[in-house]
Amino acid sequence: MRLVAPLMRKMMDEPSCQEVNQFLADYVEDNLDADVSDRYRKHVAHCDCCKAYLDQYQGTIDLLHDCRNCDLPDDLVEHTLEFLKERGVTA
Amino acid sequence: MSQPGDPLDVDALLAGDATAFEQLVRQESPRLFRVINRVVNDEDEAESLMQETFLQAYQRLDTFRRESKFTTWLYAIGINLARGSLRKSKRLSPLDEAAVERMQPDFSGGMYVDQAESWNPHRLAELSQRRELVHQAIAQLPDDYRAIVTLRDIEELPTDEVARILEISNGAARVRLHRARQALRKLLDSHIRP
Repeated sequence: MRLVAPLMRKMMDEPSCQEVNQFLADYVEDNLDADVSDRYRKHVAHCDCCKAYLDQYQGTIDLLHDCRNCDLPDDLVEHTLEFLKERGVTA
Repeated sequence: MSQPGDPLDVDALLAGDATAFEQLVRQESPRLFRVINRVVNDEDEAESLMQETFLQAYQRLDTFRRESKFTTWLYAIGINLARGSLRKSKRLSPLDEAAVERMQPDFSGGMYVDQAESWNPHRLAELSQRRELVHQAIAQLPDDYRAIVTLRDIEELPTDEVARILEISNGAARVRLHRARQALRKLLDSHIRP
C-alpha cells in the first residue's frame, strides 16, 4: 500500500502528506489559495497521519498563545523611566 | 494627556518630545521585556537590554525612515541587542540547528515515517505545569527560533511584521516559524502523550 499510495495520489492530483506538511503554517493560518486549501482539507479529512500531526501542530500553537503572561519585574516601567531621565530622555 | 494603549504620536516621538517617549515606554515595556527575556533567558539582563533599547531608539530617532511601524523598528533594535548580548556572553542554546533538523518529521514516498497521535485534550487540561513545560521547551531552541515563536505565536504579531523585526524575508520567516513549531511539537509530545 505504501508503494502504491504515491502513484494513486499523483493520478488523483492529491497532495502528499509531505506537501501538506510543507505548507502547514500557511494552511493553519488560512493563507493558501482557496483551491489549494480545499485540496489539503480533503487530504487531511481522510488521512489519519496528517489529522493527528495537524492536531499536535495546532495544539503547539495554542499552548504558545496561552503562554504570554509572565511576571514582570517590580517597577519595570518606573526603573526604565528613571534610567532614561538620568540620560536626559524623559522629563 | 495620553494613556497607555493610545496610538503612538510618531511625529512627537521623532521631534524628541519627552512626554511622547514616556508614553512609548509605558506602552511597550511589558511586551518588549517579555520578548527580550525569551531570547536571553535572564530577567536582569533583559531589563538592562530593554532600557538600552529605549535609549538607543531615542539616540537614533533620525534613522527611523517610516518604512515600518515605529514599534517594529523599536523591536528590531531590542532583538539585535539581545542577540549581541548572547554572542558576547557566548551562552549557547541547549539545541543547535542540527538538533532542530532532527526534530523535523521524516517522510518516505511522501508519507510520514512515524505516525503522530492526537493529544488528549483532558490530559492537556490536567497538565498543571503546562506553561512551565512550554517555557522550558522554548528555552532549548536556538535564539533565532526562540525569537520567532515569541514574536509570532506568543505575542501574536503578524508574520510580515515579525519578518521586518528579524530583518528577514516573509518566506524565510514562515519557514523558520514552521521549523520552530515542529521542533516544539516534538519536545512537548513526550510530556503530553502518556
